[in-house]
Formats: sequence, C-alpha cells, structure tokens
Amino acid sequence: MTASIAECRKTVPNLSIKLLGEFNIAYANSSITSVKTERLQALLVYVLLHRDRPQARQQIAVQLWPEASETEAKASLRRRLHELRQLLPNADQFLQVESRSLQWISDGPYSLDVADFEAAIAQAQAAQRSQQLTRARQALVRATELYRGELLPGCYDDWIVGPRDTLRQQAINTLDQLVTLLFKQGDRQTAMGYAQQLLRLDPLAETAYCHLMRLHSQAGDRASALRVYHQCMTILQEELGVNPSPTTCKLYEQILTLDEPLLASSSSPQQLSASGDCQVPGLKLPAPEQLSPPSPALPPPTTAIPLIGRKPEWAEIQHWKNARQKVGKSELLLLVGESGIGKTRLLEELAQAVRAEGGLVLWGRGFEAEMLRPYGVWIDAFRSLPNHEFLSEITTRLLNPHPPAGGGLDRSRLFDAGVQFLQQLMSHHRCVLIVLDDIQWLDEASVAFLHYAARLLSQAPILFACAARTQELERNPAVSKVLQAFYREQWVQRLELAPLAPASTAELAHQISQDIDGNHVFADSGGNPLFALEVARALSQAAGPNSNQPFSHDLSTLIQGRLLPLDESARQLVCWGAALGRSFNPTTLAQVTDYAPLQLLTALERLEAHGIIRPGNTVNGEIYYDFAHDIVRQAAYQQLSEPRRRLAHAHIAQALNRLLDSHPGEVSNVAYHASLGGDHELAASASLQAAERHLRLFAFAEASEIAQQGIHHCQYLNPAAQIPLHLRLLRAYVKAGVRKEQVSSLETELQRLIEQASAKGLKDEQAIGLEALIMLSYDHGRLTQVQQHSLQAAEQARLASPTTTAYMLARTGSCLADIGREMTRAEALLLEAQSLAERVGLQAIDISSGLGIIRRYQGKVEDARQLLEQGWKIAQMEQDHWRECPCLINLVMLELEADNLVNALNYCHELTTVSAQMAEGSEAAHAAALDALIQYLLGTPEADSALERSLQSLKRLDSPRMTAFIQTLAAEFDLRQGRPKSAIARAEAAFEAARIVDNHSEIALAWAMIIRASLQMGNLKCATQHFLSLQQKISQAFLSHRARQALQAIEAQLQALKP
Amino acid sequence: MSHVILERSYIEPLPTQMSLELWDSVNHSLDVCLNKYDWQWLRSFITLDGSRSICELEVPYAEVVREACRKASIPFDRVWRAEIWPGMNPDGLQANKQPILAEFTYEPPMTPETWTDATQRTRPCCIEMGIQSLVTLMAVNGERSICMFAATSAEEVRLMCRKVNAPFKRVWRSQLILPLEDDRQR
Repeated sequence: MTASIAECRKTVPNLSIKLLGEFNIAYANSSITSVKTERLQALLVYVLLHRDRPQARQQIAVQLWPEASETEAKASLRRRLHELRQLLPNADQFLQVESRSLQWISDGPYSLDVADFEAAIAQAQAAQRSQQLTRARQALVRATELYRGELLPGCYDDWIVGPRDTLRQQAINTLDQLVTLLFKQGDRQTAMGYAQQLLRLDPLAETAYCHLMRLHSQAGDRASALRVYHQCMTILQEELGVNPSPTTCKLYEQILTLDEPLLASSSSPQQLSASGDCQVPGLKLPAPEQLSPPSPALPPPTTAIPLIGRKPEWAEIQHWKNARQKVGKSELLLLVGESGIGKTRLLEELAQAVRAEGGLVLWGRGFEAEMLRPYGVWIDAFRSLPNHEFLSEITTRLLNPHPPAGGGLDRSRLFDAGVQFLQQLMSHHRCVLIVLDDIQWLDEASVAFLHYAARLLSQAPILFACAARTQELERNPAVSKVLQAFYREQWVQRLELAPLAPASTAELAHQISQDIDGNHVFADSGGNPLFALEVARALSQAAGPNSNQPFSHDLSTLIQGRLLPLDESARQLVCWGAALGRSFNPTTLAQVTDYAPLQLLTALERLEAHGIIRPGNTVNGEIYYDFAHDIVRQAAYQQLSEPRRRLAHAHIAQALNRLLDSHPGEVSNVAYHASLGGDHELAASASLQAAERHLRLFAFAEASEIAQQGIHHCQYLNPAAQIPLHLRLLRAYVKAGVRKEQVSSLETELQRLIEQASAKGLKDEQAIGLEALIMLSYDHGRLTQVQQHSLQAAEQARLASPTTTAYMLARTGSCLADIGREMTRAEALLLEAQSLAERVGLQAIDISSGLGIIRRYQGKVEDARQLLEQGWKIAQMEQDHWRECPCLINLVMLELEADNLVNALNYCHELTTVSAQMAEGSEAAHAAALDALIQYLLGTPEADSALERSLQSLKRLDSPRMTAFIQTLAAEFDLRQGRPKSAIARAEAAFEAARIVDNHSEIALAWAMIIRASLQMGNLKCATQHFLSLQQKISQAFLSHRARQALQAIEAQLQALKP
Repeated sequence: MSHVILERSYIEPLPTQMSLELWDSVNHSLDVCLNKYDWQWLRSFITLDGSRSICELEVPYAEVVREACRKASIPFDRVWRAEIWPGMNPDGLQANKQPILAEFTYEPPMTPETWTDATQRTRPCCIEMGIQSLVTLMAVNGERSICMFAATSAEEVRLMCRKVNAPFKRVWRSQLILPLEDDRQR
C-alpha cells in the first residue's frame, strides 16, 4: 500500500489528509476548508480508517447517526455523501460509491498521516529486528513527529474510540522505544525531551517517570530523579488512588541508596518484571532471583558517612560472620550499648557485606509503641518477600474470626512453618542474615519465635544479628530470659559498644565540617557518635553566617533545635510522625494529617533533606519512612505539650479506626492511640478486637496485656456500653490465661457483671460471662464444674488457652525426649511450653522431666539431675506415680552413665517403691532390671542370673529401649572385667534392640562396645572395619553426648594403634 | 449377631510360635460346642509368651460363648459384647502381624463424646512417637476396651498412654491369628 501511494505522489497532485491532532485536507498544496461540518468530517474519516475494504452503507449510517431511525440515518448518509463528492476535488479518484457500499480507494493519489504513522512504526520494528539502530531511530522519530495528537479531536462518536486509543497507545510505545534507544546510545539530552513528551502524552505512564528518573540519575541529578518519583506518586494517588508499581519503587530505592548513577542497562522495567514464582513442595516460595538482592527488604539505607572508629568491632563482626559461614552453624551476634552508640550503623555495614556476597538480608526492628503487636518484627522482616506460608498463616489467623480446629499445637505448627520458610530461603541463597534491631522492644510472640527458630536452626548456616539498648533490655522479661538461655547455651557472641575515642570523634565531626574543633565535640558528646554528629552540626551552624546563637549541650535539645528551621507544614508532619510512634507510609500519614498529597510529599522531602527522617522498607510498593534515629522521634514528641499530645493521639486513633476495614492489623494501634488520647470507648472496643486477634495468633501475653488495658478503660463508660465490653474483655483475658491466685477475684467480677447483664435483660452478655466462668474452671482443674456445661464450650475454651497449649507442647516435647527422637525439636517445644507455663504460674512435670532427659542426652549431668529431681518432686506432690517413674528411671540411668553407683542405687530404691504401688505396667520390671544391672556392676553374687531374668522379662514386655541401655552398660562392665566375648554378645543384643526402636545413639554405643571388645581381643582389622561402617551409617550430628564421646575415644584408640 | 470378645489366660503357656493349625487344635473342643449355633471366628491375638489370648467372635449373643466354654471345660477370664470403633488406620490391622494391644477399663464408662476428646488428646503424641491406632474394641457398656496399635514396641504405647493420662490394665505385643479366607465359617 505504501509503495503505491508513493508512486501516485510522483505523478498526481497530492490530496493530503491529516487527522492526528487536527483535521486538515489540502489538495495541490491548497487547503480545503469547505469540508468543515462535523458529520462530514466524521464520514470522511470513517471511510479513510476502513479503507482496506468496502463498508456497507447501512453500517456507516448506523455508526454515524446512531440515534436516528434506520431510514433517517440512510437519508442523512446520502445527503452527506453527496455533499462530500461535491467538495472533494476529483472525488471519484478517491471514493468508490456503490448502491449498497462505500470505499476509500486505497491506492489513489493521496497521503494520510495515520497511514504514514503506521508505516513508520512498521519500518522501525523491521529495523530493530535487523539491528539497524540508526534507521530504527529515524523511523521512530518520524512516527513521533507524525503523531501530533489524538485522532480527529472533537469527534465524540463511539466508533472512533477504538482506533483513537490504538493510535495513542502506538504513539506511547513509540516514544518509550525511542527513549530506551536514545538512552542506550547515550543521547541523554534528546532522550529527556522525548521522555517528557511521553509524559505529556500520558501523565499516568509509569514508564515515562522511570525513564526520567533514570535519565536524571545518570546525569547525576538525584534530586530531580526523586522529584519525578514523587510527582509520579502524587499523580497516581490523585488520579487512580494507587501507589507506584513495585518496579518504580525499586528504582526509587536504587536511586536513593546507590552512590553511582544508574547504568543504562540496569533495572529496566522489563528486566525487573521478568521473574516469576517457583513452587517448592509444601511452601509457595518466590523464585530464587526474586529473593536475591537488591531486595525490597532493605534495611534503612546506609548513611553517607563512612564507618569511623569501629575498626576492632567491625573486625570482630567480620570474624564472627566468616567463622559462622565456615563451620555452617548459627550463632547470635548481639550488639549492646547505649542509644546512639552506633549499633544500627554496624548492623547496616554487616548487611551490606552480606548483600555484596550475594546473600539475603531480612531486617526487622522493634518499636516501643508496638510491644503488643504480635510477631511485629518478623512480619516486617518477612513481608517484603513474596507471599509464603508463615506470613499467610499469620494473616489468615488475623483475618479469620474462627480459628481452625486442631487445638493448642497450632502455635508450634505456625512456628514450624516459619522455620521451614527460613530453611527454604537458605537453600536458595549463599547466606541468609536476619537482623533484628532494638530487640529491647520485641513483643513476646516475636521473642518466642526467635527462640524456637534459633534452636531449630542452630546447626544451620544462618546468621542472626541483633542490637539492643543495655539498660532497657532488663525491662523486657521475655527478651532477657531468652538471652539468658542463649548465654547458657553459649550461643551468643556479645559485643558491647563503647564510646568513640577522641580522635575518632573528631574524625566523625570533620565529616560535617573540617573547621570544627574535634576536642570540643568529644568533650560535649562523650564519644557517642549520634551526639557527636548533632554537636558538630550545631557547631557548624553556629559558625555559619546565619546564626550566632549559642547551642544547648543536651542531645534532645540539639535535635529539637534542628527542627526549628523547618517550615510549618514539615514541623507539623514531624509531630504527627512522632505521635504515630513507628515507621509510617505516606498513605497512613495522609489519612492522619489530612494533608493534600503534594503538600505531604513536599514536607516529606524536606524532612528527608534535613536528615530528620529516612526511607526504609518498601511494602506493597509503598515506601515506609522512619525517623533517622529513635532519639529524633523522642525529641520531636517531647516538643508537644501534654494537651496537644492527647489531641494528636485521639485524632490518630480516629483516623486509623476509619482505615480498619482495609488495614485490620492496625487495631492494636487504634487501641494504643485511643488510650493515650483519652477516648475510653474506642480504647476499650479496639483493645477487645486486638485481644481477640492476638489470641488467634497464640500471642497470649500480648492478648492478656491489651485486654487488661481495655478493662481499665471500661470503668469510665456508662453501664450500657460498659457491660458488653467489660464481659467480652474479661472473656479474652481469661482465654489468654490467668494465674491461680487471680481466679477467685475474677469469678466474683464475672458473677457481678453477669447479674448486671441479667438485670438489664442482656442474654448474649450473660452467655459470654458464663463462658468465661467455664474457661476459668477448666484451666484450673475444676472439671466437675466444667462438666455441668456443654462439651463444646469447654472445647472452645481449650483451643485458645495457654495452659492447655503449654500442657500439649510439653507432652509432645517430652514424648520426643522419652523416645530419644528429634531432640532439638523436642527441646524447642519444651522451652516454648516452659515460657507459656511460667506466665500462667503452671508447673508441668512433663516440662521438667522432658528437659531433664534432653540435658542427659546433651551430657549436662548437673542440669539433668536438677530438672529430673524437680519433675520427680512435682509428681510426688501431685501423687502422679506414673510420672514419678520416668523421672526416677532417668535419674538412675543418669547416675549409671556418670558412674555414680551409690546414687543410682538410691534412686533405684525409690523407683522400686513407687513402681510397686502401680498396676500392671512395665515400671516394676524396669525397676527390677535397673536394680539387677546395678548389682551386676557392683559385682554382687548371683547378679548375673538376676540380670538374665530381668532381660527376659523386658523381652516379654517388648521393651527394647531399656534392653539396649542395660545390655550396653553390662557389656561395658564385662569389658572392664576382661570378658570381651560376653561383652560382644551383650552388645549385639543391645544393637538389635536399639535397631528396633531406631535409636541412633544406642546403636552407636552398642557398636562402640563391639569395636572395643574386638580391640581387646587383638582384632584390630575387625575393629577398624566396624568403625568405618559405623561412621558411614551413623551421623555424629544426631548422637547423644555419651555416644559421641565413645566414638571419639575409639577413634583416638585406633589412631594410637596404627602401625 | 453380636461382636463378642473372649479373654483367656493360660497357667500352662501356649507354644510361643503359634500357627493356625496349632490354634485350631487348642480350640477344637470349644469349636465343637459352638457349632450348634450360627457363629463366626474373626481373629485371635496371643501374647508372645503364650500366657494370654483375646478372640473376636460373631455369635447370636455373648452367653453362647460362656456356655460353650463351660461345656468344653475351657477356663476364661471374661466374655463381653463389643463395638468396633475405627482408629487412625483401621485397614492397618490386616497388614500388621504383631499389633500391640492396650487393655483399658473406665470409671465412669466411656461415651462417644469423651472418646472423641481422648483421641484428640492422644493424636499429637501418637504422631510424634510414630504410633498408629488401628481399631478399638469398645464394650457396649463403655466400661472396658481393647485398643490396637502399630508401633515399634509396646513400650512406646505405654509411654504414650502415660503421657495422655490414660491408665491401662496392660499393654502387650500380640501374635495375630486369622482364619483362612474360605474358612471363616466354622
């Protein structure tokens, strides 16, 4: 088609038609103005756009006169067609008019800008395919020039919408391609012009903003690049109510964090959106490339100031990291020190180092205002990654008012999902670093998961790095307790940060200005880096032309002084941000402050420029901001007078409450702000909602705390509002678990409220009170009372009770410990149970006995003895003979393993007495067998036949675990007595028994006896072969301390005997 | 027809390696006495030391078994009518030649509701310890039951019972004797 037009142009005077951005017809270079009526133009354009085939007159009539009758429409068409043929020179050269159809003669002597535009695009595509970039650029420029605006502006017919949009989209794509091409060719200036043209064409085109951001950034103009982003964010919010896409946000982050301008090839939108999901059995995990850095879960961007004065600490951290990576085992790095001492700065340095090696960094932070937000730090750390089971489980529980059936073990299942997710991340990355900053403010649920994950992943190559303020740690019992446990396990490397030396303080101050007196800064700041920088800034300003004011030597006042020069709207924003108490996104801030988007973004930019706030994580495509340091937040908050603080909190509570439908997770914050704002009814109702949510997440401590807060607010309410809220809050409080000493007063309170509800005819409220009473009875063992009520109610009570959860976790953990299987998991479950039990004042035998067994397995004799004794005493008090027995059996075994025969005998006598009181079971037989073993080891006459009878009895009872233990110890004794053949026979019996129960430690111990016996008999070859087979079949990682010691001793013995 | 359990103890233990033929000979006189009724032997469980057996029978009523035992001069511990309550893996019984039996008595008697509650309490421990409940023979009056499990050893089942506070009379590994498929009616 284009060729024939070109031929005609050479021979015949041209009819030139322009439809893009205007309507213009010229014939032989003279404009034809007579085709001026709107319908006439529409008719001409219709046939031109459908020039590839004849168009039925009826069809044209209906399209052009849609509201007329068919007859009228056809008549109108006839009239306009006649008119057109009169006005168009040589009309028959261009129009083929038939009785029923009409067609523009496409090979006639004319030119049409739409056709030329399409031809230019086709040429550009062909040139790009053949890598002829110059031709492609020329064709793209030509197409861009041809598209001067939308098709036939002023026509509002339905039929034109489709072609008009198609051409517009083609123009947008053309400009996009042209900018990309020019960018690649390094012609930034020209590219910038076309990018701006693209933006004018489509102000909502994110690609245009991305082009401009990249072009500005490459030109070294970061401020303009960031402004473009904010412009994009504003317009998308105003026009569509949405945030920029993750691609745009990612680019924004890169520009924020990268010192070097972006390369032409990096982070193009196409590249960034290319990755997809991959499925891993059991978990929906993101594809490895999605989990790879640069991750959206960036920690707060590293400050521009280099790390100063921390060489020894940084070397120690690097050594820690390298050592962990080398041995492939985890260990917690804990940085402690006062506020502003540089803990976060060092964590950032570590994060950067891990990312530089291709590792993944997950970053979460505790907030003082959010100590009742369950799993807050983990949600923040995980949510920047694509969806996964742990987070979706939490989300489901938050959103689902009815928890799934399955009882108290769901907390451990939830934790297992989290651990599994971390393991999957480890399998996709060279290294995974989990950074938890400000752990002194972690909620109890977050701490519980940290404890659980740390235990289960202690043998995995994962790095945990935390920072905490020394003094405030003590105020968080959950964190303190976990850290104590970690210290006991020698699983923490603690690094205390001291103030900077004078020289380093001066060096830091000189980053602000070389003219500053470093000694002065050190004297004022005491070497605290944050303080030092503030002093340096103040000194620098004092020395500047604009200020001669003396400055305060108090850090908080210094920071407040930095807020003074801000304009009113930025200063107001600081106050709102400080009152919010945590990191915030522009959307929430806009809701709270009622700022217009542009005003908000301008204020945010100003605060960022002044170093008051800084951008942090990106969540769902939106950047979250936070104060540059928590002290800055505190200083800003202190600026507010008490009445203004109350007003601010009340306003925030109301604003967040309005957002609850779309952000249900904010309910704790509503309660928090309503409480501080003195809005008692909102505080009570939001506390109730938050408590019920926390219960669904098994975050009992948080649920209990927030329910108590809600109950406190109830006293200020009128009875009509108070009774329903108070009863529901009490029910939540009871569900979260109460100590025995509280039961009586709670019962009285519930009875009082139930009576009040009854007097007012509030039947639902009565039922709620009754339900709370049932739970109290159930949790505190008053089963007779429970049985008076329905089983279903009791079952409901059990589902969310920490007491029952603790019992069930303890039972499961001790089941595993008893059979010597999955000891690490058993320990994690038992410690989890212990933490819950301590909170509700519960003493569970299974926890002590289970942990005692685990300590025995770990070779920690003293700890094991203490725990097993404790379990035994509790069982005695509760007259639970069944549970006395395992404690005593393990005590006997422990003493035998430690070669304390007298102690073993004493415990065995106790065991014999207790087991004699029991009905048919295996306890008496176990007691008899252990006694027979002790007598055998003591060399008592006839002990061997008693031992044999006991072993027969164990066989009848089908008790292979005890058989293995007894035979192994007896074999060891035989060896000491120089009876290797007897030892081998016993060890083989022990081996068979241990194999039945698949107990690797007992298998290894029995095998070790066989090897030692072979050595005693001088059969080195046989012993060596056995040892090699043993090493191949048994992994030392899953053996008890005793079994590992036995193998090490044999290895040493074999080494010594090597010829 | 009633599902009836016959419990017997032996002062003189049975041979430890029991076969179907041997078992037939042990029960010959009893079979003769039962033959005048419409009855069916389903299966028997014998302790590994031959000191005890549990037989499951389909008979018109329980007294038929007691009468037959008396006539055949076969001492028995107890004869009781049972219902079959399936466990986690009821089909596992056919494949398990040495199921573990746990005998329980209940005061107050067990009801379906309390049973559901008990199994829910038991389930996590069973899962962690690799124990499968197969089938439970529950007395129609709810006063006793025999639960059958698949586990590595009887000790595992005892441990589990202790953990969930389920006091048992005895727990033992059994030898399962089944009739031939074409010889179930005897």
